[in-house]
Amino acid sequence: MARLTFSRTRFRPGRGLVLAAAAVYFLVPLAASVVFSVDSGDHVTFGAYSQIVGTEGFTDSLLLSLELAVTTIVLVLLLMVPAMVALRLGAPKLRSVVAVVCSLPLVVPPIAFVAGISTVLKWGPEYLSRTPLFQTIVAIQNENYPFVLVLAYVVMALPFVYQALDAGLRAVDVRTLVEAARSCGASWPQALVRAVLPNLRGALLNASFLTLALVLGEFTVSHLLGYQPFAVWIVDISGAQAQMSVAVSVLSLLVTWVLLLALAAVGGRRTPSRTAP
Amino acid sequence: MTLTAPENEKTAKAGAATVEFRGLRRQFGSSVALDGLDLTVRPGELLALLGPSGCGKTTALRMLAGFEHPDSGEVLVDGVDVTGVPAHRRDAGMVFQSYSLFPHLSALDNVAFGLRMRKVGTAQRRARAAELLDLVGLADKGERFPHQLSGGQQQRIALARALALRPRVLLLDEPLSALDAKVRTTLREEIRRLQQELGITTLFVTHDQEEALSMADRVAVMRAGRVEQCSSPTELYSRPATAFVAEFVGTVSRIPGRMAAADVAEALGSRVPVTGGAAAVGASVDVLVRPEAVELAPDPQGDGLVTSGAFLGATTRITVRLPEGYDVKADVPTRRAADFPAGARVAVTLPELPVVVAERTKG
Repeated sequence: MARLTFSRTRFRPGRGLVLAAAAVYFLVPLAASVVFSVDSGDHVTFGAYSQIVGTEGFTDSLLLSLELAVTTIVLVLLLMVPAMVALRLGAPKLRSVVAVVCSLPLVVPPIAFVAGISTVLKWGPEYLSRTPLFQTIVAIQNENYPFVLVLAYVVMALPFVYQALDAGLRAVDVRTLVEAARSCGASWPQALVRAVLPNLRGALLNASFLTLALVLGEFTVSHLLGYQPFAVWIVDISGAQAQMSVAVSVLSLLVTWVLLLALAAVGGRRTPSRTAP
Repeated sequence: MTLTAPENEKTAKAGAATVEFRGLRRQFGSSVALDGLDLTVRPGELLALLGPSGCGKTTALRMLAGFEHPDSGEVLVDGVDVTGVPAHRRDAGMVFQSYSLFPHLSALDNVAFGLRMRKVGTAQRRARAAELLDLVGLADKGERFPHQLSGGQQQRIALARALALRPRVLLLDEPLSALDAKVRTTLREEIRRLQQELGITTLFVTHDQEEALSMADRVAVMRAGRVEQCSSPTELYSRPATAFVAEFVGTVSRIPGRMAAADVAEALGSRVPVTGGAAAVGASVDVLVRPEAVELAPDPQGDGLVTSGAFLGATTRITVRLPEGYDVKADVPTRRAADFPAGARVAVTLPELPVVVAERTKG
């Protein structure tokens, strides 16, 4: 162990170079944005930032995005966790099929996806106006809470959620855990909740992270369907003032970071130290 | 460290369960795992299922646990058909081969898991779990997590967890195979002692014959989904029913022989009684003998040629090549081993002990 630690801490010029290049690539544009957003010729001003909070739609769009994100996370996990556990236990041969299906959203461009969604939504007034389905189609397009976006986001999050859960499931022996729990008198749902899920916490957290980031940054689908969550709102107001638009981008980055950190803090409470006393 | 059961743990022998497998068949795709398995486990006994991998022993165990379902046949516990009962209502505690403790729970919570599922109150749960940890000699390790425990300790916790709900049947699925040799021997003795003190009917799956012979009341040797022979370790060793059992349990050598009568074979000039395997009178057969049942004497005119010797401690196992091309293994006391150097000529004789015969394998 000692040698391993030593070699880790030793300075390696190659690594330093790569790290520096990455830092320049990511940090310089960020720093430039921050400088631009607070620069007013001869002194530093936070006017652009204070303006944002007062601008109409900020709170509404941010809250809408958060609501959508929470619903999407809950829905996609409820859908995928039982499916993937069942896949592991019952039909391991189908795994590659499911992997391909779940990766499809990466291949289909969002613009094609949203075109498909609008076509389906148009069936409402065109064919279904005399059926109860019409009410459903109207309901999911509710201006205050467009559930149709959640449906779209669930599909778009599939590749990320699949990868995160697959990595997590690979690290635990699901079959043995379930069987051990079953022989201790746990029913199927109990075995899943009490024995499997706690050991997938890292994977669930990763899946939630990725989904949250996806929903907060999604623009194409929500914009083309005519809703105004956070990302769309940023674009809408940024046309007017250059300095404020950059400030908003910096702020949205901060908001995302804070939310990810909050999620990590809530879900990532560690069990006692990993080393034997 | 010894494992002892307090008085209140002991089930009266009369309360122990009888387990019966009746005509169990199970096919996975084209491979037959169980081919009409019939077996009865008597109340309170430890029965080992022994066999090569793929013989169906684990499938049989998993059917009793409720993790596999037979294509046909039934599993009975105390005469009641439990084939349709789901795993969590089977009342069977199980210890798995791989480390199966819940990684997110401490040793104590692992043991208490089943009690929690049964909605036992917290205080009672903790008391019972502590009692069980004490039973397996790990009372001081309750707060440890599985990754902080050694392999042997993890299997002890798994045993405590399996016993927590006072199951009627204890199922052990190669629980020692992942441990190193020394831990395996001590844990094997402790499992046996605990099992006898609790008087719990136990089914133990293993591919290690030494484990099976040293622990079990009876051993069922399985082959291709059926029981080949089920009897006490002594009988299994000294009177194997078939050539497969003889060759799987312990060491045997094949010696060319001939059936002299319905149950007498002739080999190396001796007539020996046949207890297992059958062949027509006059047929050429292989006679299967144990190394300790072969006698060697130095003889310059002898048929046998010593090819090698292996030191085993008190005895040395000498390999002798017979003129027909058969290699025979014979155990001699180590102090006499110097009489049989490689290349020496020896006379090989058989004492009049019962043997098993098998169809001739060499032309």
